[in-house]
Amino acid sequence: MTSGPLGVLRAILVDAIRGLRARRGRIGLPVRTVFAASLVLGVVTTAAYALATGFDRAAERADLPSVIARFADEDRSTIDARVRRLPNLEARAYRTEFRRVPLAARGRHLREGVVQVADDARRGYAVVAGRDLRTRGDEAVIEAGLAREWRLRPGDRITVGPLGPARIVGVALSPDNVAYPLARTARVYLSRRGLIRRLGAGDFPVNLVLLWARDDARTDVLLSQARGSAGAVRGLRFTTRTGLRTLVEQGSGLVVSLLVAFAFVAASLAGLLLGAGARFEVQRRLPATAVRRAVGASPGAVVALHGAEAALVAAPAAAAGLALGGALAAGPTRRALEPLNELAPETSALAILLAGMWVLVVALAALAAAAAAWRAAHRPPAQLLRGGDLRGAPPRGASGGLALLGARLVAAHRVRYLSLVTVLAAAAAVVLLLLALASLLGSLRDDPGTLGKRYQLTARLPADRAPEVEAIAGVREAAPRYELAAVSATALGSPLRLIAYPGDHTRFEAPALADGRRLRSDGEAEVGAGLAEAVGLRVGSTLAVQPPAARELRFRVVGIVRALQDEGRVAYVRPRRLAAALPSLRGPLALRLEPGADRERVRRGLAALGAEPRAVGGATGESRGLLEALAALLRLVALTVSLVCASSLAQALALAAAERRGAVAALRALGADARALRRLLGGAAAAVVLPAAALALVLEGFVLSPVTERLVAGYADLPLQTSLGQVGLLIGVLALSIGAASAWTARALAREPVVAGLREAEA
Amino acid sequence: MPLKLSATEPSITRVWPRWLAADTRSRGTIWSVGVVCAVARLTRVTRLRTAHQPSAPVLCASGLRKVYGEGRSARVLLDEVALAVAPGELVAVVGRSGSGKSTLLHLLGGLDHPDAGRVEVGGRPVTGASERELSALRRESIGFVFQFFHLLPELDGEANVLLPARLPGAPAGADRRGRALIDRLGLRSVARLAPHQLSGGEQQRFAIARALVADPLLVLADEPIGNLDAAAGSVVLDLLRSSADEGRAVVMVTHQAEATARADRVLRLEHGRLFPTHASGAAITDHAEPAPRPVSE
Ligand SMILES: Nc1ncnc2c1ncn2[C@@H]1O[C@H](COP(=O)(O)OP(=O)(O)OP(=O)(O)O)[C@@H](O)[C@H]1O
Ligand SMILES: [Mg+2]
Repeated sequence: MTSGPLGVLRAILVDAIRGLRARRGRIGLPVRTVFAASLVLGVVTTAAYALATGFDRAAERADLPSVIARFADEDRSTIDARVRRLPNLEARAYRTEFRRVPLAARGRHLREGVVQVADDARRGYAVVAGRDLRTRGDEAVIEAGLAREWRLRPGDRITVGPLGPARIVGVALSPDNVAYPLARTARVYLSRRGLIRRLGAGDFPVNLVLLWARDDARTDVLLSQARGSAGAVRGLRFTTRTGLRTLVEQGSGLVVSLLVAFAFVAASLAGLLLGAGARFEVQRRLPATAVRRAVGASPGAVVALHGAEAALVAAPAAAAGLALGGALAAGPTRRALEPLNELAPETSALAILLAGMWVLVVALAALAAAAAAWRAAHRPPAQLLRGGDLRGAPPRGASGGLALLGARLVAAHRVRYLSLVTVLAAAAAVVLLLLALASLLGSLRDDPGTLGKRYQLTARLPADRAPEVEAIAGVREAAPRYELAAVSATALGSPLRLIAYPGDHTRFEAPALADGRRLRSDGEAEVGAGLAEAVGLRVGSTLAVQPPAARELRFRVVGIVRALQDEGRVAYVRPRRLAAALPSLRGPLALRLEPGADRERVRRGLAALGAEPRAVGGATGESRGLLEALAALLRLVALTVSLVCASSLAQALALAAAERRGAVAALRALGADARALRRLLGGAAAAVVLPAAALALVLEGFVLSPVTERLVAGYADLPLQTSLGQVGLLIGVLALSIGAASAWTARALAREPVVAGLREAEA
Repeated sequence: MPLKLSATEPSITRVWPRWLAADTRSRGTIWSVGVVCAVARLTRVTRLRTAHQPSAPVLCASGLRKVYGEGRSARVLLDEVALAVAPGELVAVVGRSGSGKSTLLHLLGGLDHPDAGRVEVGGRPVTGASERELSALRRESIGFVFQFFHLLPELDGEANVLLPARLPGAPAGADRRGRALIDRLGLRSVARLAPHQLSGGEQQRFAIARALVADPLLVLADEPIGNLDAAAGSVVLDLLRSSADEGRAVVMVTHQAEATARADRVLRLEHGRLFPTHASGAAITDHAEPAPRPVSE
């Protein structure tokens, strides 16, 4: 045998392989544990990575400009004279955008088509199928969302408004907007030169310019110069790459950050599972460790052996789990990204990531085993030989039924028992969290409350009738809601909406605070992130607003909120200054209902007051596809976590039964029949599951939910609540699986000859 | 039926089946064991405990065969083994290590299935019985002392002894008997300790107490004094002896001369068959060392 570190390593590996071969039938448990942990990790890593980086990947691929400026039609040369002189500018491209162009293809129609006429070299979109435009007038590139929704492919024809039919040559994707039909509009690109030739006309004005900064980190310099030199350019609106990301994230961010938060939770669960599994395994093999120590093995040798064995077991199991998890998550992830105009990662990038995870999992498994073995190896061998992980005198009392006996058997191995309960509790808590999230996703579709709006109905009634409305049973609060369209007085033409409530507006609308604080006085405003981005506002700056036919109003910005309405181009203020400037200002009453209120009764109550209620639509009315894809993703994650749960339960039963084959055989030799074994195993499983369920409730209620709420607080006001039904469901499923599993195990154990179990315990 | 723990006078049944100790290799003996068993079957009543015929053997085994492995590597461990044990009889089985003594006891106790032959306990068939019937039989009629004790490590000594009493269908009075046995075997002071806190001999005595707690008709003891000093061993032997004297059938595997000296009959297991022997301990054991308690995972 070679000496030196390599020789030692080889000797350890050979020893480990030999040991594993001898225990072939018994490595199922650690293999299952590592596989379950890796499966969870594979799913959440793939989903979280793909969703968290989807925008950047698409932006990169599409060569998304740093700034997009829209303005009223202008002569191209006039605009270019100003744009050319901007600092930090690398490239620019002009477009002409036509809105409300009817589109038709394959018997389907859409009024809200948007045609962008382009000709510069840099496009700002990525061609994902077919080819890019050339200079022919009858060619079109359509956006991926439209192609998907209408099942169009390069080669098909599409009718573009008055221009008539065009041949689709390519499909493009640009993350500067979400995809059709999540966006109401669908985009079609045409060639400027081709169009000029086809129409036989001269050049036409431009209304959009894409700007690429030389140094992306200093886009703000470019932007402020552009604002400054805008001069007489009308209707100027800027969108920046970072702003776009904020906007896109406002729509999907809630779920994305939920997933990322969840990935974090699931990764901790997987780590816990790995650690507990390793400890479990080392505890199980204490007697063999004791013999090794007794015949002269050093603690280091024992630790190395356990570490090497754990790594050898973990390597294939982790690879299989991660690969399967990645494959399972890939489909739903891609479907969740598509409506956002974002791209799924390349398989190779994902493979590298998962390979990294693999190394991590194997190292973690080996380290956890080595750490547990280290502790064991430093106990006197005689102590290990006698009783392994049993310490001290067993609890007194020989009475009680068989179920109680089963519970005592499993609880006596304290370390193993505690790690099992912890793992099962963690898994169950995560499942509870997921159930809560799933119902949240459901309510997202029709309940605006989750996205910042807390009122459900509006009624056209004057402000002074609010007390009468509040008297209707089921109505919690009612207050007038004022909404006013205006433009920014500083960035001319930038539209925005002012929203005002008397008193605390968060009672009715509470978009999450991204920065600063809530408004407290008449002179203060909370502005949406979209508006802040467009006009260049931050906490402390002044919002100057020009309402129609009134004098300019000024507010101090005290907070930035993640409002979803009007792409976040809103500002919340108190109504006093608005009313002073516009005495005729009227608004309907916003009604906040009691939870579970009878809407029909409320409607009748309002009818008696002479008003017709109007329901507030979900803020994501058109995002059904996105929500469904995200829900599918969450379901998948829930499924894998349930798998982990089931595997933990199997582990518990293995501890109670297969692990204790000798004890079961001895019991059978004393006359215990299948019924008695069922009771015993049921008691053992219940001893694991019941405390785990209780711990799960505590974990979910006091740790996971608050943490998740905090993590997504930047996006939504999330009332994460586990319903009694969900808790009942979880406990029911657990109880059912205990019953089934103990019946099955008892049957299997009662079938084999008693002597088999006895001999195994002896050998 | 309360267990009397004092040594009693030898019962008449002790002398009954000495003729059975003939050469088992002879067809005639096998045949006669078969006849005895058949007669016992004919005269049996459903529950031996309630209406026990003094002359009917408690244990009847005939034509027992056990083979390990298959094909060329097959090893015949037991072949045409016949044995009948009457109530009140204490039979010792000796033999080299690995000769199949434990295997034989497992077959007799219904813990393993023979490849051929049949076993009856108290007139009830063991071979071919359903798992349910076997459980009831083991619970009510058989007490087993394992060579390696098989105490549940999670329970203290007393709880281990009283374990059979916790099974559904356990006979009444088992608790009281168990406590009496613990006292008799001198285990009171260590009754609350877990097996890993007990010496080998203490574990062995707890295992013996557990085998007797349900007041079985048949006691099968695999090296019951293997780990005991002379004094403790003699207490256990007294106990087994008196158990037999009270009308139970006892089969004991042993290597020790003290044990064979207390037996009514000594049988020797060799080449898969049982031979009668009248020799003392020194002559019957080739390897008297008790098997070490194995350590494993
Ligand atoms: N499941 C099995 N498969 C193969 N061989 C077995 C099996 N069980 C027992 N044996 C073999 O049967 C033989 C007899 O075993 P047994 O335990 O009955 O011996 P024993 O006479 O009780 O020995 P000792 O006095 O050492 O306890 C042994 O050689 C053993 O290897
Ligand atoms: Mg033996």
